Amino acid sequence: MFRLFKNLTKKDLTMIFASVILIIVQVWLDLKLPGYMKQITENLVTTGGAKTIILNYGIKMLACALSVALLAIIVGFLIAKVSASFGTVLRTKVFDKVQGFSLAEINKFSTASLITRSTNDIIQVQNTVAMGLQVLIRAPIMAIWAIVEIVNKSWQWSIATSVAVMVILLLISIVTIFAIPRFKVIQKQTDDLNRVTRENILGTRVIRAYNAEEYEENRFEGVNGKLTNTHLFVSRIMALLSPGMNLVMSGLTLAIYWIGVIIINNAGLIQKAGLFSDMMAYSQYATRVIMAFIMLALIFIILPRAIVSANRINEVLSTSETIKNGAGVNGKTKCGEIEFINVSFKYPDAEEYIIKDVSFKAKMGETIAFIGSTGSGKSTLINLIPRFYDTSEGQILIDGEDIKNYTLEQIHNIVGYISQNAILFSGTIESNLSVGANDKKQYSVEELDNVTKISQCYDFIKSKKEEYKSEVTQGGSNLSGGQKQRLSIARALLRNPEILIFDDSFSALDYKTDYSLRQSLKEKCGGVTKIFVAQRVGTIKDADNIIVLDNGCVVGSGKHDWLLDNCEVYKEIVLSQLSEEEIK
Amino acid sequence: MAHNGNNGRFANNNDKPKNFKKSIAKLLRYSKKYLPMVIVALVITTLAVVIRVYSPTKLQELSNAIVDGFNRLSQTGMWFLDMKVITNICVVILVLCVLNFIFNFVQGLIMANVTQKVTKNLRRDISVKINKLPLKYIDGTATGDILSRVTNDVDLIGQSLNNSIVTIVSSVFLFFGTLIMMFIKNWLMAITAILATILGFVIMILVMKNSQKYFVKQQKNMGELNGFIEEVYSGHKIIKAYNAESESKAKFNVINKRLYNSGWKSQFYSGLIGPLMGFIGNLGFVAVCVVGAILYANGRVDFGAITAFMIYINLFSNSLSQMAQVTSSVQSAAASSERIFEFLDEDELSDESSKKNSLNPSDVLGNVTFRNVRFGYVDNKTIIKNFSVDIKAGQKVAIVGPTGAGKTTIVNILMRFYELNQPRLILGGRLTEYKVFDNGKSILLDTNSKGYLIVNNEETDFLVPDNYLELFKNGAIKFDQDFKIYTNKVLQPCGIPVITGNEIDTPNNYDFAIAYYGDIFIDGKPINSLTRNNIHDMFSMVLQDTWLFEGTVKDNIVYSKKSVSDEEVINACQYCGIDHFIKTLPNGYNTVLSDQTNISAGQKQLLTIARAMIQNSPMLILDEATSSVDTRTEQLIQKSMDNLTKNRTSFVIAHRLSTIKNADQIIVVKDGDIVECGNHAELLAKDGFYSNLYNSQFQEI
Repeated sequence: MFRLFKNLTKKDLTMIFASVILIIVQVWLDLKLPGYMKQITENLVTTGGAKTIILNYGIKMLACALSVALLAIIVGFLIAKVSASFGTVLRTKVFDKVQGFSLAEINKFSTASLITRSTNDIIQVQNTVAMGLQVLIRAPIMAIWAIVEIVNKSWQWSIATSVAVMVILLLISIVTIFAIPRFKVIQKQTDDLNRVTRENILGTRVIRAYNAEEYEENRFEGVNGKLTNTHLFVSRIMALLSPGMNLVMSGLTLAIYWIGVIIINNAGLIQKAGLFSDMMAYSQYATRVIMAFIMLALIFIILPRAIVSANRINEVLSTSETIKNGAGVNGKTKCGEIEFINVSFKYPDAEEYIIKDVSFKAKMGETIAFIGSTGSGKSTLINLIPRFYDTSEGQILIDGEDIKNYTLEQIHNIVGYISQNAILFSGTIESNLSVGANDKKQYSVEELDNVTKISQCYDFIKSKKEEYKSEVTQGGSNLSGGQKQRLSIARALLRNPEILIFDDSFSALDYKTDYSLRQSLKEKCGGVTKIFVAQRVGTIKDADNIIVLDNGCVVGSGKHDWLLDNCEVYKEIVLSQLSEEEIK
Repeated sequence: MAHNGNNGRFANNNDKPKNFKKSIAKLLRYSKKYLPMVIVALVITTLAVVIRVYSPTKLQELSNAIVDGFNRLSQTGMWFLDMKVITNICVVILVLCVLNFIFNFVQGLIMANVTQKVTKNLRRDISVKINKLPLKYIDGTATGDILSRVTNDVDLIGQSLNNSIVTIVSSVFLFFGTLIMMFIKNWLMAITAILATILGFVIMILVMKNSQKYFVKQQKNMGELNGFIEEVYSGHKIIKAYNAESESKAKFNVINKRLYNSGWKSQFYSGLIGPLMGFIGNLGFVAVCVVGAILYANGRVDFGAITAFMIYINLFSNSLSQMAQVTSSVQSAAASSERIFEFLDEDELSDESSKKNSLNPSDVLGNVTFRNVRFGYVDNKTIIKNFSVDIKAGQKVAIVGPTGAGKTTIVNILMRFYELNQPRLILGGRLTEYKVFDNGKSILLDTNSKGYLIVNNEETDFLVPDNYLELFKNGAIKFDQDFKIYTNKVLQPCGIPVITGNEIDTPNNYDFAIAYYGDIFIDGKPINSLTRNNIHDMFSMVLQDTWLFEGTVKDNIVYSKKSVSDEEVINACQYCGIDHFIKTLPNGYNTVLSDQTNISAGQKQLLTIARAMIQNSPMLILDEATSSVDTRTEQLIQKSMDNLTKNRTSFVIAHRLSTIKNADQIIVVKDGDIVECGNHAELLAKDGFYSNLYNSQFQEI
């Protein structure tokens, strides 16, 4: 948590400092109120009340109250600014950090977790700062100051107050010890309940087919019962809290009066009036002491959650990026040749290699295809080219230069990468096509037309009312799988890359579109090196070189016909998809 | 996306309820059982309020007793305090404090109990309801939507039940109680206190009204930012590969800046509540002090009254803020209650307890007949128009067609996940009087109406289900022509020519016509006459989306089947070739399967096949069980599926040529309708859609 505070700007710190000063003034004024009241009381019991004095003090009290409120509002303003700015800075830092991550770091956290860390966790910390900062500054000042005001008044009162503070702390401890851990349990049991319900909904068909409705109901009753019991336990303890605090507060006031009466009764005649007004004031101070302690205790209940969030944010911020940017290669001629030299890859902590000793070379304009069963490492292999991961061993050369020598930006400009699941962003078709337009800010309609024609999406775009300005919803949910894939292919083509990488990006296309797309790629993008990963044999049958992967190793490479005769794994894959007579 | 489907996103709990009264009334009626307990809690609360309102009077006495001492001192110069009286008062106050504590605590315990019972029941009822809803509803509703009702909505109701019911009553009592007590003590001070408090609240309401827009704005910006972050993080690969970082950073900064602006403002406004409340308290405090002191000085009020008023003013503003809180809490409870009861009141599956017909799964042969089946998901959009096929016991039926063509529709209607369009029997004819029987109800028509619609096309044989036979037998309908009635055991054309469309006139030549939407028959029994449970008993099912729940491997395999021995489980697993894998798991068959368990899609699929095997039903449905696994695993699964289908009538939604080619019947589906049916050779010879599909390199697209 405190490490995060380093992210506070100078301005924030100044504002916090100002707040501290203002809060001190505020506490001072606040503690003046019982003092004035004491004066009034004394005035009343000794002189029977002089109007001018009463009004005088009354106005002073009112002025105090007003100032306290005003100061509190100013402090509230400052703290609101500080906490919002703190949250904003943190969000920017985390977002920028994540933007720099390679896939290795993303996988380490998982996308879902990174999203939570950038949103909920930061909000959590921000809110705690907003609420906590005031209380954290104010409560101790108030407690100490109020104690100082009353400490030498009467040891009997002090004991009563200490006892009350201890009882309150005890009460809160009971709640903290017994109830707070249960909140975590409740969270988990709620997750369980959610899970069972989700399972029930998703498995409706199976459940009904197996007549397992009762089985499911029993399963639900199990988690439901557990959750209810924990809730019951917690709410029983919580039922103690508010009445308990009330009891302590009123008990303390009573005790102060009771003790006070005895003290007054036993005191000398001259001291009596002073003691009486002291007593009135004392009960006010004592209430403030207790409130300060309650506030502090509540902060310590909220704080752990914020600390957990803070640590999660810190984890992100302190993760160093594993992919180092290259120095850059100048004056290279564009040709699009790519070569793998004995490339192996494994995840940092893994024992098994995902890719072992893969070498191949693709010349300008060639089509290379990778095929293999799920888990054979073909997607991982091509993810090495745009440096989503770095090779564990071996080298990848583009146009004769190690890819690590290029800057990442250069690499990404050379390589047009099309992902397995077409990823589209909310916006328009045009904004999606021109993602990362780099130096070029806008593409002409001709350029757009050209690439959409090649990727077979020209027609469906033109059939839309707003053509390139048509809306794309988040995740492209208003488009079909095939449309999304074709758009993402167009997006890659638009950048005019030297090398195109298709990571199984034809899977949602029907056979006919698949064919025409390959045809037009061949015609219009002859000079571009194309690398395919595919499940469907049909997609890659015509490749210049098919590389067959099995468990990360190359088990065969060559043309379709040759592989059919010479590569067992390839034949198996083909057979599972085509019938014998169609292969020939 | 599955990971991100946080409940929060679906929780529109802050919506205002459409019908506030109705929703609350429903909730109260639902909790009727606990009314006695609630009443006890309310009585206790009322006692507690009485104590709270009364105890300042005691404090007043105490103060007065002390001040009397001072008065005596100043008048006579002698000090005397009646310590006995003071001790008595103090003891009474102490007792009142303790009683107040006990009452509040007990009330809290009772309400906690009631709340938890009600919420538990609500959750259970929602869960039970899920299994009673037609699939039509479940398929058409987002999972998150139902989930948020089970958790968020029920939680919200729980929270407000716990506090609101009691707070409504106690705050109202407290409000009036304090008001009365204040006026009894001194009307001038009472008015002072009320004016001060109300002035404070008016200021607060004005401020809060003004702040509402910032909260809304902040919520909106936050949603926007979260959406953007989710999108960018999910598309990280593309952002990187396309050098789009600076673009997204720029956009992020714009939204983040907006959030900052609305964020600090709403934070500031919500932070105002504290100081304002404090100010209201102080204002009242000072006002009462000053007015009280002046009145005291004039001798119009005793000293203790000022002390008492200090507390009353506190209680008074408390009761007001409690009422404000409770209104908003009740509002959201009403919205949640509306959402929950809307769900609980959904139409359920038809009650089948009166169905006496049933087939014993162990005696079922497995003859399945589709006869003139019509079906549409939406009422006036029929997709399966008129489909008939006879499937003999033990045959294998492949259902093929392009993705999205509606292959699962056949499973849906066979298992009665979706009901066939209401079978309808309309009898007509030139009789002495015209009678129409619709689902057994006779309607008398006037003699001028001539005849009745004949809906079936192409098919000339009609089937009269058992329950309608009576109508013929008991002579409700007389025939003046030789007209045979066939039972559903033997299907023969009954010789009535067909008029297509919904033509009203019966041609002169025919005295009688039957229109009947078809049905599916298992061993000659229409599935509509059987209970759903009975039908489900006759089928085992393996689906494309492997469905396993968090539980042990054994539980997942045995599932709802009663008295299955461990040996049977192991046998089934050996048969499926998954036994070895299970034994490598940390706890073997007792390993709990969860998201963390390292288990591949193929292995999951094998487990569901083992489950189907244990079920050992006479018929089988396999829905593309191998589409999510690689070729090699597929072969393994295929082998165990072949084992499973032996001697069982099986329906296989398939894309593997080998499966399709040797199926006894191939049902070809296109755009929802069944376009062709026959075996491989027959269909190829037809040169229709199937042969087209087959020749264009048959595969899933």
